[in-house]
Amino acid sequence: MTQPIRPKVLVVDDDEAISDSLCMLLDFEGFEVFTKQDINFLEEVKKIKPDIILLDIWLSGTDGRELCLKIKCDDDTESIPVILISASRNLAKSMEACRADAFVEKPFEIEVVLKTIRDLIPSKFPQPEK
Amino acid sequence: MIRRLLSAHRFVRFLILATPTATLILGIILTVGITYYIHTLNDEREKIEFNHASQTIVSRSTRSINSTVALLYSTRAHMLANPDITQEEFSLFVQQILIKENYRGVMGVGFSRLYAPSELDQIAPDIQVVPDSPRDEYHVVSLSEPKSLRNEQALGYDKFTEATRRVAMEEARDKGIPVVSQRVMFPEEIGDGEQSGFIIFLPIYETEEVPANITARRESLIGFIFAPVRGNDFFMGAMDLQPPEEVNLQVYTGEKNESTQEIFRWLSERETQPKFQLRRRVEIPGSVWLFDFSSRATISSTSNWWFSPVTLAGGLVIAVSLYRTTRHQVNARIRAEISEMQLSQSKQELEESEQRLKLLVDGAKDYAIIMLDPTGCIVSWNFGAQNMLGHTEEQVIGTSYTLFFNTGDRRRNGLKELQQTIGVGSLDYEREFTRKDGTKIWASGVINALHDSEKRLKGFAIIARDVTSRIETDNELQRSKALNEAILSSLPAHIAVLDPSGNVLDSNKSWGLLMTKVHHQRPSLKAFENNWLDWWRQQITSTDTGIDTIVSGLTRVLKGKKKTFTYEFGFHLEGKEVWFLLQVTALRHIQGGVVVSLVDISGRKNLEKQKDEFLSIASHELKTPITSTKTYGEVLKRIFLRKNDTESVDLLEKMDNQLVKVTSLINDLLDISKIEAGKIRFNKEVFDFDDMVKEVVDLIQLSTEDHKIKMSLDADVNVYADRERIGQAVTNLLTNAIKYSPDAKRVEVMTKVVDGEVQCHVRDFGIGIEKEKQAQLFQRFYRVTGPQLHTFQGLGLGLYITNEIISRSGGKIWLESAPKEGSLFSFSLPTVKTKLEKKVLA
Repeated sequence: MTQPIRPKVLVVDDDEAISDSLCMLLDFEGFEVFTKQDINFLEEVKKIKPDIILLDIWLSGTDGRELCLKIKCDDDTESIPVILISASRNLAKSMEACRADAFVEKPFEIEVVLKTIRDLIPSKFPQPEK
Repeated sequence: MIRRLLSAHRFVRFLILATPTATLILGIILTVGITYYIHTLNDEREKIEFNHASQTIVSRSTRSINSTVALLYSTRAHMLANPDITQEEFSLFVQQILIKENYRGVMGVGFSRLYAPSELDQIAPDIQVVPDSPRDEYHVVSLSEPKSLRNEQALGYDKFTEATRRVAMEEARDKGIPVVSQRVMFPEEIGDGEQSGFIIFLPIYETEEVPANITARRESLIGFIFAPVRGNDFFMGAMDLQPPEEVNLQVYTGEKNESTQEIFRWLSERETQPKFQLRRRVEIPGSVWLFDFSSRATISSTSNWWFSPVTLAGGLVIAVSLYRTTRHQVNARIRAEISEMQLSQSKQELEESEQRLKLLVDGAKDYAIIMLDPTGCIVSWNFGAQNMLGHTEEQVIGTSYTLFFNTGDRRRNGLKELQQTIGVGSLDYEREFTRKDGTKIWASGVINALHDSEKRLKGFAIIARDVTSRIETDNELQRSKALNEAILSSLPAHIAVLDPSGNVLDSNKSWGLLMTKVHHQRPSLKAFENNWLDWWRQQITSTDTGIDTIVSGLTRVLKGKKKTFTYEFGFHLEGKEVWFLLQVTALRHIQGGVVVSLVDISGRKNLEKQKDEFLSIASHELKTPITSTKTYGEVLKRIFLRKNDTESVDLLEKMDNQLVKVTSLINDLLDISKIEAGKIRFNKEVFDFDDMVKEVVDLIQLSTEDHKIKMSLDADVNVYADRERIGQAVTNLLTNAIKYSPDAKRVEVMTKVVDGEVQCHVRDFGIGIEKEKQAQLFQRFYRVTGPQLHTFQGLGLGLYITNEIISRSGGKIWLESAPKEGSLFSFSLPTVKTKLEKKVLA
């Protein structure tokens, strides 16, 4: 059997620990994980072509919601689902404002994150390992 | 004219016209009355005369009889002193008495001696005892003087043999007193005819003293001294031989007026009905006499009998002449009045008008009306002036009107004021005056100079009114205003008073400064003040609802729909953001309008902002390591799972639960801080209540394996609220239910609609709560305490926050619980009822 195609997830969080632990966990769960927070963020996204993006709001030097808007305003990246992940309250409002697809409040239950991803990309969601 | 006269004062006129007749009638009545009175008076006088005459006769008669008795006593004394008195000696004694001159009617005095039959030989031989028939006792008159035929005849006579004399003698003997006999007839003497009369007997005993009892008296009796008295002579003598002309008199011995007992008679020839009659019973020694008086017709002849008819006639003449005179006078008066009426008609209107003016002046109690002569002296002074200044008219007439000036005014003004008035005709003034009692009053009024038709000054008229209370009120108002200004200017607030149209009526200094600062480019502060609201409209930037909220709030208070309006807002001033607290308060007592106050709250706002930012950053910074810790835990869990190390997986799950608690604590703290600051915001939306509850239950079910959450969701309604916050409330109730029922296996969640409201109930089967602690449950930092305290951790904020969320969403929260029986927490929320409402809200 060929190795199933691992869905690409882009994790954008400037907190190293979160980014690191989340990457490890998603890797465990069968995702191909990317982390980026470059100035040329949109170019990176276009290059990686992730299946889903987990995006923090409070980023050093920039606002996650602005990045989200850029993605959603670009024809190439518009269809990529974006999940806002933040410790802020009122995420629902932010989500609407930046046209994100879902949100998860920090600190999160990993089951909630996984369920949200599964809901957004059911077909690409990796099967749990046997 | 007469008719007018009559109709004008009908009653008075009637009286005038009736006066002559009334005078006549009155005159007749008076005359008759007086005549009758005089007549009565005459009668009365006659009666008094009659009574007087009668009384005089009675008293004189009594006196005469008493003096005769006294004569007998003195004779007895003489006899006792000279027991062997001879006839010559007795005669001499009697001669000395002058009986005839002094005792009228008394015929003489005699002595009758008592002899027993055996003693008859002792009687003087020249005396012959008459009668000579034999008897037990002989009373022989042995002495009888003065010498007269009758008295000589009496010698030897035994009076005891005659019945009438015997009765008197026996009584005298037995009682030892003088006794007057009943009527006796005396034998006819020479020429003087038979006369009736009486005899007075006085007993003489052997002893000088009268013996004590009857027996002794009878035994020791020697005889009797006696005096025969002729009735007619006696009474005529008593009346000095001048009996009254106006009285008839008959005197009887004894109690009855029998003719056989009559001893005196004085009657006129004419037999007429007497006017007065009088009967007197008079006690005399040993007996009684009856005096019968009656008036004679001549009694009236002595009085002024003619006086009554003359009075009557004279009175009638006077009455008639008075009637004529009066009638003449009345006629003359009526004629005079008619002409006077014609004369006075033109005067009358003038008088009436003067009367009205006087009434007006006197009646003006609140106005002092004072007239001055040209020199300023008071000539008239009304009641109002007396009221106001305390002096009566008598006290001030003739004095200068500057009397009421304060000392300073008197010196400065004096009569200058009046001179000014002459120039201008009329002068208004308001000044303090001194009253009579020294108190001060403020008066306001006008002085008018009065001129006659030839423009000569006749005086001044002053009209004044007491305005003390107004002046005092003004002063009080000014003091109060100054105080208010001082208070207002010392306040940090910017305060203005607006009229009902929103224009600035008044403001404190601080308001003016603020307005100048924010509006320095405007040419006129005044112009700005009237448009201050427009200015706010341009300035207010940093509030979400902004100027519209202010304008509508202010308008509502101005229109009286609300009492107050409070609002916080910020704007940029000189490059800085400033915040103000606006308070608008209705002025109920002053014809509408409002007070607007602006307080600079920028300092507080900055602090709040800093605190918010700090909390926000702090919670973010706290949550970040928790997130990574949890995630690392999940990674570890997966590593241990792969190695089938379930023990480590369990430990990791416990660790994860603790992290969940820390997260919840952080969130609670953040919420509390927002609630306290009033900053908690609700993002309202329409959502399906049951769906929301199901999501929450599903999520919580993930974190517990010990409890099965049983749902029965029957509400099936939409609500309009903050979905996330309501979810938080349900979460809090569920986590509490699980937390406080550690030994139970089950928690129940129910939803339903009751009375148009959705209700959510969360039931546990845990430790329960005592009744007395239930009320405190929704307070901040309250936790159920008791032996299990160590078991249940937390800050006690969950139910407080839940209560805040529900009540701020328009709902209600309550609880039913009992110790060891578990608890049932419930809350209700309004629902979205109609499709239209749903649509609008959506």
